[in-house]
Amino acid sequence: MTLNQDRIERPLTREEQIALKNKRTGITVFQISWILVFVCLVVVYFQLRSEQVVWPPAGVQPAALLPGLLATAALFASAALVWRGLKTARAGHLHGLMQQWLVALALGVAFVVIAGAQWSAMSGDNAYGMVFRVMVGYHLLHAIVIAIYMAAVLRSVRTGHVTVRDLWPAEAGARLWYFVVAAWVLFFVPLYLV
Amino acid sequence: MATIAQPLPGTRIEQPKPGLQIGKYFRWSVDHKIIGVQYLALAFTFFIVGGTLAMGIRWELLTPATDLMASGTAYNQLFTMHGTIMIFLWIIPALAGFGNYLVPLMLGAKDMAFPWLNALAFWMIPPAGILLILGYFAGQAEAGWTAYPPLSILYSPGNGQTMWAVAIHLLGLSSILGGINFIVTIRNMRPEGMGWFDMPLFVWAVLATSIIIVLATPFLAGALTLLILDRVAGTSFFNPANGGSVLLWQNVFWFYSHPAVYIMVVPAFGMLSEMLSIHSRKPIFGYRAIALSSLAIALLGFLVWAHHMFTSLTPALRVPFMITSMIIAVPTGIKIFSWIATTWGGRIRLNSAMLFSLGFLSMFVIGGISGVMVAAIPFDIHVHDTYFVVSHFHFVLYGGTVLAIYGGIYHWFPKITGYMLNERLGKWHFWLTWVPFFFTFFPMHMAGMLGMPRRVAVYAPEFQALNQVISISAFVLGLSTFILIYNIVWSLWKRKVVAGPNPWRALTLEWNTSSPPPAFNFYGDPVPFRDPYGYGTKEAWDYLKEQAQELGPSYPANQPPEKAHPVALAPAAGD
Repeated sequence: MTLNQDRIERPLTREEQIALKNKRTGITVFQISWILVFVCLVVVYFQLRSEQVVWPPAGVQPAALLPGLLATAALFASAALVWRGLKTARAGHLHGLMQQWLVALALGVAFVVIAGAQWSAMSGDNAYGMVFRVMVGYHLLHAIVIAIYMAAVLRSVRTGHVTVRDLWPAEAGARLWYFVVAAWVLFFVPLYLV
Repeated sequence: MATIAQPLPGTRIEQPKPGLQIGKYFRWSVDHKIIGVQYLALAFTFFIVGGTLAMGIRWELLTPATDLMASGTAYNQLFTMHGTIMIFLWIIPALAGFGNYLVPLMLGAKDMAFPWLNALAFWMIPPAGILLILGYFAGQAEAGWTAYPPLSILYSPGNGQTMWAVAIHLLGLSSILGGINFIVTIRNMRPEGMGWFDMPLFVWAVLATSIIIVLATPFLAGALTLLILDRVAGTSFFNPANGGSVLLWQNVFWFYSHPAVYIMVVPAFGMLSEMLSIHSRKPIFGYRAIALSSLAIALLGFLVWAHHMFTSLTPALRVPFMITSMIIAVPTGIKIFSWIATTWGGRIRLNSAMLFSLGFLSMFVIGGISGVMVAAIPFDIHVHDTYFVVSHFHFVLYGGTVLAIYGGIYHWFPKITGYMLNERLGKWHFWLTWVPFFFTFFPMHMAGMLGMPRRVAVYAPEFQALNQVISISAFVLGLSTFILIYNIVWSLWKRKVVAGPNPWRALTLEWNTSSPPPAFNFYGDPVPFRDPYGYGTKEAWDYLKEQAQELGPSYPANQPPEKAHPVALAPAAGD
């Protein structure tokens, strides 16, 4: 067995299993912690809103619902593809992962473009615009960084650095993308629906 | 209650000496032990800086008029930096240092779950500290450690306030990374046979603290982000003139900062549980109650933040927060009574570590009682923003946490360095800390009750006598710190009394390896003793004997309990 084959086919050692368990627990705890920054911004939104007589303030147009819905749909679709791609890879088909993640990334870009357009069209000179821009901007920052990470994972799959035996980089990317979706739901409800 | 006049330092003189390689503590390392010492050393350095600033505050307050400080602004900067440094760069990192050093050892693990992340979390602290202090060259922060708007937005013109916010942001991120690492390590890296309720109580305390850190600190991150945006990007989240809210900051800040009080105290509780049991030679009383009360404090800590805002809060919300604030005294009381019961009937070694532990008990209780007092709405409104509050939190954080840290240093120094600290100096250090501490902070209760406001350089002349007592005591307290520094330097470079693996005859796993421990901590897979606090049993004695055969003796050699201590028939006493 060559060194490379060994790397691909050998089952995980006990140390590697513990390391994987640590990574999974670690990223879960990180996500629980970091989502609270988004919760904090939701609290900020509601407190500012509660101190205004009219919301959004008089003369300020709220963000349009339809583009928001489109962006949300794109994001949900991308998350579904990310999930399916990872499932395919776990079944041993890395090619399927690549195909589905490429489409997922394209949908992610669509989300960023739509939400980004709303972000740039919103004026920040009033309480509503200010909090909208900070919330959406903060979310977009996360979406862009995590999408770049997922693109890097795809590159690693192509070059053979991510294998069926060790799918952790892809799993981490998927978990982070689900985080992007969860964080967006947290923001979408107060910003567009309530 | 019997006491042992001669403490039991398991010391041997002129044994093979562990090498001291100071250079490795200034480099990037992923070894949790090195990182632990790095945390402790850096935190202690900042303690000296923050303490020097405290001396400046007390010097200024010797007289009712401004004398040391050129202006009120300079005084504002002084107490802002003192508070910030003491909280974010001394107490929190020092406790993280103990956690880093001890948790993997107590769990029998080779290292933390994420060693590289551990190093990263530490190395975020020095640049943050430097950034904070560099603010002095850019118009230092002057809004207090609480940074309330509008002070921190409209009335802090220098860039120092922005640098302050960025620095605290970095420190918060470092804290979150550390918290994640602790939780994963404790959950996943316990040895076989060590269930949740077999863990040492210090590990429980670190777990509870880490839960608070990962759940509370993100709110600080959110608030600081908005503060920075207000200062540099033209937003006005905290400026009511443009649709913002000053109360928004108070809510979000205290949602972090009240739980942060427990971040600063709960690990000290854990250290106390270890030290009191070991130096009383008795099993800890109420193990599960102490462990679970740490979690209860962590949970309840999130429900009390608005008691800091009684004077600005909607009146209808005051009573619920008063009730939750008082309820938190219950799990804290469980711990206090359990510790007292632990020492009761024990064969107490009145060594330095034990003295500081008892010092903690005495002073923290005063801080806890004054905490219940300020949780009561009518009383709080009377003493809000007075020296009573200053006294209260110093009794908790200095009389509590700092004394526990001192005790921890005396207790774990032999493990960390392989050398004993001098006991006589330790006792001098204790008495010159404990007594002046009381006379520094207790009179502040009176000053506050009589109406002296905090954060002022100029005060009414009738407060001068009290302030002079406080300041003189504070100077003695400040000087006493140098006894510890001298003791450490002397013990490491001149005295060199070798500790042996287990000088205190303790049963937790960190003592089941050499002092200092080797790379990866243990020579094989360590087997934890059935009960980490099972002192006074034949089983414990056999375990310690076996340990000495394996690792080499600590002086004096173990003896059967009945020979070493004829009165060992007393329940649960003995080595």
